[in-house]
This record gives sequence, C-alpha cells and structure tokens, in this order.
Amino acid sequence: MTDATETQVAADGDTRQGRAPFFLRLVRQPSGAIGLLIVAVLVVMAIFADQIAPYSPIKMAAGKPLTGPSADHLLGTDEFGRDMFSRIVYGSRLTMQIGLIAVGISLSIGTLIGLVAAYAGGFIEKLLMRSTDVVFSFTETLIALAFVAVLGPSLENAMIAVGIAGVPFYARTCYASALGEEGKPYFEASIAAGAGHGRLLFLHLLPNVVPTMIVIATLGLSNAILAAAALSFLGLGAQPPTPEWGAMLSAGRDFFNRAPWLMLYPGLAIALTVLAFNILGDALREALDPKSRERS
Amino acid sequence: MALVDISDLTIGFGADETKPPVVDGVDISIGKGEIVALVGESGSGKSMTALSIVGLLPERGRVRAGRVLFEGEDLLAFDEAGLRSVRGARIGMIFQEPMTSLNPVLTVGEQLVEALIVHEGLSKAESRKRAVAMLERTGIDHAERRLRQYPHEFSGGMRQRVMIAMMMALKPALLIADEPTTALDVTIQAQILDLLREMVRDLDTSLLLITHDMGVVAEMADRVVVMRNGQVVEHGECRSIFAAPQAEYTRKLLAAVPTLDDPTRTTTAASFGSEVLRLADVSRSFGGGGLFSRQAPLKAVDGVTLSVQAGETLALVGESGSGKSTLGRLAMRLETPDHGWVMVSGKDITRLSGRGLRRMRRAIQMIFQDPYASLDPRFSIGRTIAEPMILEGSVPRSVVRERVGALLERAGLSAAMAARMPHELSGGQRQRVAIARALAVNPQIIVADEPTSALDVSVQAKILDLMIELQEADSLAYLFITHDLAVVRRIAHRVAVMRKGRIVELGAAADVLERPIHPYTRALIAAAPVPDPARRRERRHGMPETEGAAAGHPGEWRAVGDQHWVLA
Amino acid sequence: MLRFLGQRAAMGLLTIFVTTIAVTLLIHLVPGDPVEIMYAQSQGTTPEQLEAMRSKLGLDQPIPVQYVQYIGRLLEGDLGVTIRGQQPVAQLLMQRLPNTLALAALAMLIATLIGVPLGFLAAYKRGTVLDGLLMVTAIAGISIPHFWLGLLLLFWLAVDLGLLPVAGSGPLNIVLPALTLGLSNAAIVARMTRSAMIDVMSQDFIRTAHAKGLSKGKVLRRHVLRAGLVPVVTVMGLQFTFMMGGAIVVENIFAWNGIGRLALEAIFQRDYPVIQGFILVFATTVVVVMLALDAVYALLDPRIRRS
Repeated sequence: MTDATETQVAADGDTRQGRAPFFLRLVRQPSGAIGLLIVAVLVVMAIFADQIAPYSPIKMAAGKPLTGPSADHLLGTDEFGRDMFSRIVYGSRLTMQIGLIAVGISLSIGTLIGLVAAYAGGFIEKLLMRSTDVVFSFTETLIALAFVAVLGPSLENAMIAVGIAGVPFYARTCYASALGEEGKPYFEASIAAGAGHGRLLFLHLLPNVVPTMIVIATLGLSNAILAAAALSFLGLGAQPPTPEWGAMLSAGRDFFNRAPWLMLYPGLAIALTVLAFNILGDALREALDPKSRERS
Repeated sequence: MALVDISDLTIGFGADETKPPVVDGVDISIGKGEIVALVGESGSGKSMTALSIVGLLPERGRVRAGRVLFEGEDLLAFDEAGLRSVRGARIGMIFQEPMTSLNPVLTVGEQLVEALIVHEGLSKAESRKRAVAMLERTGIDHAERRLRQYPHEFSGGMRQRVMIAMMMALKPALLIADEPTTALDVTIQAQILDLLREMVRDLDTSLLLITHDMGVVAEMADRVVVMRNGQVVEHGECRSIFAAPQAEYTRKLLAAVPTLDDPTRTTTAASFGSEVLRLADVSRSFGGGGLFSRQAPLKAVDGVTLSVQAGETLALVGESGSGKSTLGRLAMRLETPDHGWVMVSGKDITRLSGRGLRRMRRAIQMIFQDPYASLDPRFSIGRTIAEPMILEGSVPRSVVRERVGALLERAGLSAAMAARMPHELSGGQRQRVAIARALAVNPQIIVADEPTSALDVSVQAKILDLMIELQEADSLAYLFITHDLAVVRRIAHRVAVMRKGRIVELGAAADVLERPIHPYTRALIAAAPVPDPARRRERRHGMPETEGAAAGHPGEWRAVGDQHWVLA
Repeated sequence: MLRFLGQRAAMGLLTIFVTTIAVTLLIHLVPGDPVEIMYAQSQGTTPEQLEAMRSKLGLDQPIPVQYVQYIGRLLEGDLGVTIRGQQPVAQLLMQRLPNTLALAALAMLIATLIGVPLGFLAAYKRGTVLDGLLMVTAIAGISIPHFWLGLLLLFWLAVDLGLLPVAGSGPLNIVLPALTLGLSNAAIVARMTRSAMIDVMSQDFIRTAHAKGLSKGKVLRRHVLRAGLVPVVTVMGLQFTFMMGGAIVVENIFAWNGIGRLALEAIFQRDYPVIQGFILVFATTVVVVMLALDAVYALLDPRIRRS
C-alpha cells in the first residue's frame, strides 16, 4: 500500500526540496552574520556591564579629566574625569533598554490594532485604520516631541514617546500583512471547518503575521534607538549624568577641540548599533522571504 | 531551408555547469509560414527555449550549448545590437499576461509606434498612420481615438490585440507567442486565436506557439513539439501526433486531456438522494454606497436559485466576472446574501451566526483553486487535517491521529505525510491534502472552486478521478465551479451556466453540452478548443454574438426539456 | 482624478481637525497644574498672577468651551501670545517657518540629487560589485545619526577648514544644516529608489519593450524611468516628512532659526502656547506638502489622472 501511494505521490509532480533551516539561511548571508555578531556583543556588554566596565560610569574623577585614550582609560576620560569606556559600556545597557521598551510599545499596540482592524472589518476597521492614517501623517518626530513636551524631559518619557510615535507604522504593516493572510484560502477553509474568533486570530492569523513583524521590529529597533538618542541629544531624554550615548554626544561637543574622542565614540557606538539592527533586519527579511532578494 | 533551426540547445541557470540544465539538447525547426506548437507542462523548459531565441532569458539563465539558426545566421552568436535589430523587426513576441505586458504610464499609441520608429525610421505621423491601420486590422474600433488611451482603459482581450498589432506591425518572419491566451476567457481566447491565425497566414509569418493546452494546439498547429523536463520527447505533424502518439509521455498527456467528446456522467433525478444544498433567490452586491463613491453597486450574484442533491455534481460554469465564485462563497456562508436563503440539508443557514453557523457549516466544505495558499504554511499536514475534527469535537483526541492517516490514504497520499509541512509538497499533493481536510468532518457537499485549474493536465486528471471516486463511495455532492467545459464533461451530472450574476441555462450535462439553447452557452461551447486537429475545419464559423444576449430584459425561465431550463 | 484629490484633501482636513483637538487637550494632559509648571522657573509669582494666567489661557473654562474659543481665535489667525515676552505666537511662527521650509526644501533637493541617480544606478547594475558597494554605503548612511553627522560636518567644514560659518542665519548658514539633512536622507532615498526601480524593471512590460528591439538606453529612459517616477514621487512624500522631523534636530545643532529651534526652546521653557502653535503649523505644513505631492502623483499616473 505504502509503495503504491508513494508512486502516486511522486507522479503528482516534483516534490519540493526542503529549504535550509532558517538560522542557516540567516547567518549564511554576510550581513546576517555580522549583524548578529554586533548585536551579540552589545547584548553581552549590556548584561555584564558591571563586570566589563572597569570604572563607575557616574562617579567623577576616576581619572584626570579630558585625558586621551590610554591603557588605563581605553577611550579616555570626559570633562569630569569619568572613564569613557565604562560610560559607553553602561550606555549599551540603556540603549538596549530604550530600544526594547520603545519597540515593545509600538509592536504590541501596533500589532493589536492591525490584527483587530483586519479581522473585525466593517466600521471597526475603518475607524482604526483611518485614525492610524491621521496619526501617521503627524510624523513620528512630531508625536515624540509632543509627548515629551507634555510629560517633561526624561529618559522614561523619551522611551514612551518614541514607542507611541512608532505605533501607526507597526499597525499599518500588521494590518496589510493580516489582510493578505485573511484573503488566502487556508483561512477560509478554517472558517469552514468551524474555527472561532480566538483560533482564527491567534492560531492562524497571528503566527503568519509574526515573520513580517519580526523584520519590522528589528529594523524598528534601529529607528527607535536613533530617535531616542536624538531626543537625548536635544536634552529631551536622558539627563546628565546618565551615560546615554545621545546625551554624552551632546555634552562632548563642547570639548571637541580638546577632546574629540568625547564626541567620536558615543556617535560611533550609536552608528554601529543602528547599523547592526539594520543589516540584521535586512538579512532576516531575506531569510524569511527569499523572493525579496535583490529588492531592498 | 527552414526559417528557424534550433539544434542541441542547452540552457542552465547560473554559471555552475554541473547543475542539471533546464533545457537539454533541444532540436526544433520551423518552416516558413508554419505554425509550430511547443507543448509541455510546467517546468518542461518550453518558455526558456523560446526566450533564448531572441536573447531574452531571465537574468541567471545561460545558454550552455547549441545553435539557433534564423534565416541562416546563428542568433546565439549575435551581440546585443545585432539581436536588437532582429527583435521586433524580424521576430515578434507576445506574452501571457496582457494586463502587465503594456506600460501603464504610456499611451497605447506611444507604445505602438516605438518599434516602427526604431526599426524603419518612420516619422511620427507616418508611424501613427501605420499604427492605426494595424489596430484596425486587429479588430479594434475607433483606432484613431484608442491610440491616445492608456492600457488600463483596455480589456484583457483588447490588450492582447494591441500586442499583436505591435508585434506584427513590422511584418516579422517569426512570431513567438508564449501562452498568449492562457489568461483570457474562453470566448476571448477563441477570438484571439482566430486573429493570430489569420494574421500569420496573411503576412506569411511563422508562428511558434508555446502552450500547455492541447485544445489550443489542435486548433492551431501544423506541427507539434512535445517537451518534458527540458527535452523534446516527440515531434511531428499535428494530426499524426494526436492520432498516433509515439512517446509514452505524449500518450499519457493526451489521455489526461478531458475532451468534449467524453461521455457525460449519466444522470437521472431519481438516482440521487435528498437535497443537500438549496440556494433560493440569492443576491449579493459589492461596492457602492461609500461617501465618495458614485458608482452603482455591482451585482455579483443576482437572484440565483438552484439545488444540489446527495451524490450529484452540479457544475457551475462561467467566465471571469460571472459571479460563480461569489455564488460558491454564498453557499458556504463565507459571504452573506443581501437577499434570498441558503439551506444546507434542509436547514436555513442564511441568518445563522456564531456557534450555530459553525456547527451547520460542517455539512458543507470547500476546496480552493490555489493549492499554494490553501494550506496554512505554519501548520503541519496532520494538524491541518485534524483541525476540523478537533473543532467538531466528536472524534476523541486519541483517534484523531489515526483518522488523519486514514484520510490521507483516502486522498491518495501516505499516512506518513502527516508530519510534513505544506512547502514540502507539490501542487497536486497539496490539493489532495485540501480534499482530505474537507472530508475530515464527513460533509454532505463540497464546494470546489476551480480546484484543478492551477494544476498541470496530468495532475488535474488524477484529482478529478479522486473526486469522482470519493463521490461514488459516499454519495458526496459537489458544487463544482469551473470555466473549463471539458472538465465539466468529466465530472458533472448537471450544469448551470452563469453569466453576469445570473444562471442562463440549467440542465443535465448531456443536454446542456450537446443541445445548448441559450446563445451564451452556445458561444461558450463553440469557443472551447477541441483537442482533435481532425475536427478543426468543422469549427463553427460565425460564433453567436455573445453581447446581444445580455442586453435588455434578463428574461424569464423556460423549460426546454426534461429538467432543462433556459433564461430567455 | 478630482475625486482622488478630493479624498486626499478631506483626509488632510481631518488630520488638521484632529490636530486642533489634540492641541487643545495637550495642556490638560500635563501631569499637575500646567500653569504652576510654566512658572516653576520664575520665582515670586503670586497666586493671583497664576489665576490671571489661568483665565487668560481659558483654562478655567470647561474643555469644550475652550475648544470652541480656540477654534474661534484660530480662524482669526490668533494663536495666543508667548508666556514670556507676550509676543503673538502666530507672528513668531510665521517669521521662522520660511527658514525651516527653505532648509527642508534644500535638503530634499540634495537628497534627491544624490539618492535618485545612485539608486537608479544600483538598480541598473543590480547584482554587480558597484551595486553591492552602493548599498553597503547606503545602509551605513542610514545608520549614522544625523545629529552626529551634523557635528562632524560642523567641526570639519566650519571649524577645521573654516569653509563655512559655524552658526547663525546668514545665507551661507543654510549650507551645513541642509547638507547634514540631505546627506543622511540621500541614503534612504537611494535605497527606496533602487527597490522601486527594480520592481519596475522586473515588470512584464519591460520585457515587451526589449522584445520590440528598443536599445537598453531607450528602455530605461522611456519605460523604466517614466513608470518608476510614480513610486519615486511616493518616496519623496515620505521623505519630506522625514526632513521636517530631522529639521527640528538639525536646526538646534546649527542654531538655524527655524520653527524647530523655537519649539525646543518652548519645550524647555514650558511655553505651551508656542508648543501648541508649533504642532499645528508643523502638521498643517506636512498636510499641504503631501497634498501637493498627491497632485503630482495623480498627474504622473494615468490610472488616476483619467479616472
């Protein structure tokens, strides 16, 4: 019996070869491997900041103020004699927190809005997506700025502001993706089989939207980190002496002539982090959907 | 000497020559003024062969060996400029997708004159005159005005006419047509094929016609080349190939083609069981009513009444936009009708919702056209088939696995496939899984929406056989939605012909297909290509005018025979 | 086409309408008493003064009444006066707005002039080393924070080389901020242009054009570019909103006297009337520019133009 059915199986046309496992597809791309590596370093730095950093990031006069990079102070010291290397290391912890919290806010609210709008249809869909469109046209910067203006400058408020500002984009992306899945026959077959709202939403729709949202969230991390750093740079986010990279950069510019490293390293740290998430996001997209190859 | 002489053509993807080629040592010759059909199923390499002639292979495609002699010169040795002087001038090309083959931001006129200006150096005014003449030649009225329009203002069939006008304007020696009518409705297909044949005969152009449709081959070709897995398995005169195919593959391919001569399935009203599905006067409109929309709502389904009994197949036939898919979705209650009732096994499900609807809906299941999107990519095959049973709750969880295995085997697959994921399966296998899923809750009727039209013909035949086998075992009913009359003949007991949201003719398959009364049904049948070249000459000339029938009053139902009705 | 533009205009009006509501509510969302916060920095303010300010801002009225009053004043072009200095906010914003618009426009010009040709080139040379190099550069480009790029340019071009003025509002002063904003957005434009062009190049009608025997250049000019313009205009629309957002940051680095700089000062000083006015003006500007781009879009795409 098995033999007979197997011939049958073969006769139905070419059976597709399984693709390489997802992780392999990711790290085989140079961008995936490099991105993952930098992110791993950042995560280790963030988690083990207490062990890695030789000095306190906040206590002043760990060394002489404004000394250049040396064996004692790998990246030099700032105007208060704080060790720049330690501040950068602790900054990675803050940056990761900011990115994750902001993206967490955007992702959770955005996905919820997008899913519900696509699934519910009718008036709820119109209401949710129209309001999203309106908020989207305010642009993220304006929303973030308005939030900080109301709540007052602080790191926490900057995170919330950036998170809220990102919601419309996540909602739109999720909505478009969910709408596409909903139109596919497998979804209707499941309705025909008698699946209820919960099953349709969380077993069929959500898992099929997740890959898209992971890509968006990874790229979104870089966006959120940039936006929060910009707010801190403007003085609307982290306040001194917090070792936040954007704030450090802002403080460092006053000493550019005497201590250019104060401005160089925090900027480099931001750029590298953002780059890592950008290329990782691109690689993820390609690993998840090989058709997007060569597109972006 | 032949106009085109392809010998030992070998094409592969990428630079790696150890990978198996997609076209492998192909020899084809095309005589002057000859129509050669290149036939094969998907993946046979037929399109790649044709594209290589004019050097338009997709980016990674590489010719590894061979010669393409055209008018005595090897085109493969030509540089880009040389090829360019041949393309459009000596060799024209028409593609499958009329909707995307024209640039949406340029007028039809601009696109028509391009080749004339490039190759013949005509002035704008002269080339325009020629373009108008060509458009008129292809049967487009008001050509002067149409030149100024954009592609989106043309229908699919009209665009294909524009393509033909564009490619024939320079009187090429060879026209390559890659599935030129596959995306078109059957009545339009017939018109386009007629036009193509006429044009190439008049201009003494050779035609290389690439197709998967044996009916089209029989209608058009002088000679046939059959390809499979990159190789030519058979070639010869069209008539002799159809009459006495030599290669095993050709024989199987021809045997799998459903024809309009196959006997219809026998039917007597008494042989079927009780009524399992009844649609009474159902209507459904879309669009309109928006704040900014001034368009009238489109009536997709307009007052349709029909019923299906246990054990019978009712085929719902129509062209795109006829509302046949919407009707299927209404029966499933995936759409809710604006008017009318839907009854499944005698119970009204029109206004049911929530739990009640979910329970009733199990008596009616669905199979869809696109095998790739029919299965949730994140669910294993086993989980997909188990879902309806688990939701129904009548099967204890412990036996679900066993049942899944049994269902897979009924659908012609092995029980071991339950662990596989959809992307590991071929199109035909996926469609079998979709059938197994539909059977999981023992439905009384299955709505099948073009379940075989995305499949190759040999796979299609097997799926149809499976469906018939399952029906006979369990007196399952089918509402079978399709555009393909040959498929209808294979599977249907009764036929409903649908047009613009209404059923125009309804009756036993034998009656409707052999004694069609409604002009639209007659037009559909006349247009369907017959896979038999011997009967080409008797092709019905002067096809009934299809437009006239729709105008004015929709008409009333009239019985024209035993259980045979027509809207007149 | 008119219907399309009508829909877009209605959407724009809706956006502005929602903005006016948001702006009215804004001051009530402030945790604590907004008036006390406003005066927290200045000593010796009496409770009577606070009360006077409250009634001056209309905060002692019910919110719907405040909204109606706000709209009433808005229609007369009155956006209130600044807390410090009692200057009319509308006048202040209108003085600064042209500076921001000039900055955004110039930056957009730079981004377009660099990004579109490079994106086009990368798409044309897709898969080659050149494409790879361009795209690596682009992704590095979008990863560099614009405020950092601004500082680097400032110290290099203005301080070290002395080519350009460091800060101020002379005609040359726009160069640095525009360059900063333009360069950092050129990378995004290049990436978006590339993927839009690749989309177009893979369309069937491009194959048709080749099959007609047109030269590569002719296919590119007549078919790819014409069809690719439509998505590129969409890219530009998105770009402009990025520019306006980026302008807020960049203006502060280079002390360019635009509304972004004004807004930042207002946020620090808790000058709510200025913040409210800024948000409204910013949103309105974005709406107007987007509407203009929609009109261009509609003209370029015959499917919209002739509907």
